[in-house]
Amino acid sequence: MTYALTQTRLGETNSIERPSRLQEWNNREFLTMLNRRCQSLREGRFESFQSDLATSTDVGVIIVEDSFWKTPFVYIETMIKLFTDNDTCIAEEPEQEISRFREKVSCSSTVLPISVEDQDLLEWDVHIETPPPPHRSGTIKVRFKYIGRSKPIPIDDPWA
Amino acid sequence: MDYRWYDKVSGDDIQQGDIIESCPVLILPSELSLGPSGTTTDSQDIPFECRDVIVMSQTCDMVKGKEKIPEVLLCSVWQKSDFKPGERMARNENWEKARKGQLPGFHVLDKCDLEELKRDFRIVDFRRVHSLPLDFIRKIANELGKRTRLLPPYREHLSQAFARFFMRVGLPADIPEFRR
Repeated sequence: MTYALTQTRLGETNSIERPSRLQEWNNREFLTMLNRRCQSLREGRFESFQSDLATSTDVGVIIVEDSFWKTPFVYIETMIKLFTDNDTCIAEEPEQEISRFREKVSCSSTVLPISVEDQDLLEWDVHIETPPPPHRSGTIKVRFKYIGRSKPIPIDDPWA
Repeated sequence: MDYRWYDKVSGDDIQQGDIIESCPVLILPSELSLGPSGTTTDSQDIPFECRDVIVMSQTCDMVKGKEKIPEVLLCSVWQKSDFKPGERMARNENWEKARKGQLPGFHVLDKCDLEELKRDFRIVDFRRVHSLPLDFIRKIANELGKRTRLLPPYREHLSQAFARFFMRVGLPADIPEFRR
């Protein structure tokens, strides 16, 4: 993603090397895809539960106009914090400045809130608090009677 | 090559990976008191639930005539559609985590497309474990008629996941994280 955006910006900021119409179309498709991801972020679809990971995401859209085209650019800042058991906080700021577009618009790279390292986390304590209702349930009348300690199953010759 | 997840079986032969639907399990109430004698004079109301369970005991311990265990270890299983919208396990992202093995307390099984046994994706809950007499399970399985059996290597994958969860060790003092 970063590479594609860099290519876009470099192409546009160089007045001699304007992108072809096909390249422009590709860029627009790419940005549309990014916008869809932005929408997912805004709607909180990346929500996780019982996780030690905290993410804060600032999403903005910048409309950039040119004499040839008008395209929305996404602007995402993501902060990932991992809280450890000893109350230390490991923060990671994956924001990367790529280049400036026409000097007025600041741009940043798009970073998904889940990094490769985060995907390796094991959530040992996740459990189902209330299981789905059973197919059938009820009670039975039981009278408990102690019959002594159980014994292991006798095996004649385990090596036979 | 055939990579089927399930087979359709019937009868009272029990193997690891057999799914027994609507199997009655007793939920002993916490207030139940048997006293030092272990015997009650009056009858007690003991709740039971009919749950879908999967056999976790080893197949070789349950061979007919050569049984090496009197009781079968079972884990509760739920279908994806059993969870209501809004519940945590109704969300796809949590199923995805479980599928990738990030939730060690669970194991995801593929949906079943066998005729008469079409079922949604299922999740095995390693925290809800039951033990029932082998003869009782044979009887229940026989009464079920057609039922689903998880096939290798998926059943070994399930068994490995259960072992990984069961043998987990929590360290009282972990090594501090290495900072970048």
